[in-house]
Amino acid sequence: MEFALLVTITGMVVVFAALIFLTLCIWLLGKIVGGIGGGSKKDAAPAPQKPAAPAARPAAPVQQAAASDGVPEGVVAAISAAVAMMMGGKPFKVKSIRRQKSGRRPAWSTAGIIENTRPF
Amino acid sequence: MFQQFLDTVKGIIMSSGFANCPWQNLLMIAIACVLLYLAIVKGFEPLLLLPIAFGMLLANIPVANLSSHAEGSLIYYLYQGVKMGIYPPLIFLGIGCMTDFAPLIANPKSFLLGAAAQGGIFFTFIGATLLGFTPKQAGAIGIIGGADGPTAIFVTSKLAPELLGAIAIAAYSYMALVPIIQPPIMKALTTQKERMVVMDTLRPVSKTEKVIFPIMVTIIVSFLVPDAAPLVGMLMLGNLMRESGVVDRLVKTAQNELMNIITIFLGVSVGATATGDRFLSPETLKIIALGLIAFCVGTACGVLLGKLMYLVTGGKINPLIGSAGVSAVPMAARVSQKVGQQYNPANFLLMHAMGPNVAGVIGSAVAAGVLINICR
Repeated sequence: MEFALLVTITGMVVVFAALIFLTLCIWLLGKIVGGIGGGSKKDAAPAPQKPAAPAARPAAPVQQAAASDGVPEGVVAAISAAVAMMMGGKPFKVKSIRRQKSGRRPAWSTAGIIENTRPF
Repeated sequence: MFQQFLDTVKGIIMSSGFANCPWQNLLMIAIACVLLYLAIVKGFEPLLLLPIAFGMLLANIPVANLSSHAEGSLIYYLYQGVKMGIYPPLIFLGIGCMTDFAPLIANPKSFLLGAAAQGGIFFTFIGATLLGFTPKQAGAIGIIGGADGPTAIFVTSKLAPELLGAIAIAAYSYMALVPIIQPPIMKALTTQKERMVVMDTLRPVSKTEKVIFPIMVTIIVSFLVPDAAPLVGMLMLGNLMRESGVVDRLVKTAQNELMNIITIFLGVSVGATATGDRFLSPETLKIIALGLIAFCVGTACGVLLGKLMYLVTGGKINPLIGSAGVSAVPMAARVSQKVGQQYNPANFLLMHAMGPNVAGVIGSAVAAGVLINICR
């Protein structure tokens, strides 16, 4: 009986130790590879956005619709600025801003997922 | 002349199976037919259970001498691959080619769940020792809890080859029963709130990580537990071949033709070890009972660690994925997905459960190495 307990304890300790060590190594690997790859991407992205935003605002005449659904005016202004940047200087009119239901997938999408995973 | 003819015919009849059939052989043939029914009609892991059952049938035909132990028979030579530990690592090669370790690399904490589920192995080891098995036999019976066919056959062929037939049949039958065994345990050990946890999406895994992973795991695990090296090494070789993308034809062969050939040889020769004298004993019944306990305890340990991780991470981990640490890939992960979806239809746990599932394969290989080392 003692031998059995010894084997059990030894076995669980060794298995956990080996796998915890592996966990740490993989986590480290993820950080190293992520650090090398992600650093170069991040510098490129913010730079083109800054010159684009001030250039777009004076160029495009923006007309705003009245804030609907209780969206605060500051948010409307921010959204319009974002759209202006995306339009790249072409004139546009913001007709209405509606809040989208957050966090929920459309019903068809959910139904599709359930259908595809049900055979399991 | 006529007398000679009669004598010859009499000689043929006397040497036929019908004249020399002990009742044990008939019973074993009946059991083989039941297993064939389960494999063909009920779909119990047919890829392995069908060859195993048919091997059992062939081995118990009297006078034909087709068991794995009958020197000179066809199956004796096929059995050498099992005896020398060649087939199980080659099956792992094919499994490595078919496995995607990305969910595990994206969330390395899954390794812990894979480790916890191996508790079933060692708990069963204690139980087997208490029931009168020798340490070597207990080790072979315990590994059924790893829910990994090739690992179980590898360990049993090294520690207790006399129990190979019973252990292999128990292992594959319970692997087929995972969707029935696991859900009640999972539901009993988790609360409604825990079951409904939706986990964050997994981060994308780069190709570099996917290529370095198998190399790293092989080196680390083989250094730590050299007895696990054949299994883990071949598993990771298969995975490296797949992820590198430069040896496509080797991958195609390994996961198709090679897997199929080895499966046939392994199944038939393992089944043919189950002759009446070895199989029809109280030990077999004890093995079947212990195998069930191994699966249940493994599931429970995985779910319990999942609960602990749920508490520690403040509700980010769904304990249901813990049961997928039992390395029946991908059945256990599908069970986690199904049970999770029962309580929250928008919950998509499959990829999250694949992490512990494949971690369990590595975990059971490590446990196998430990058992072989200690019980040698």
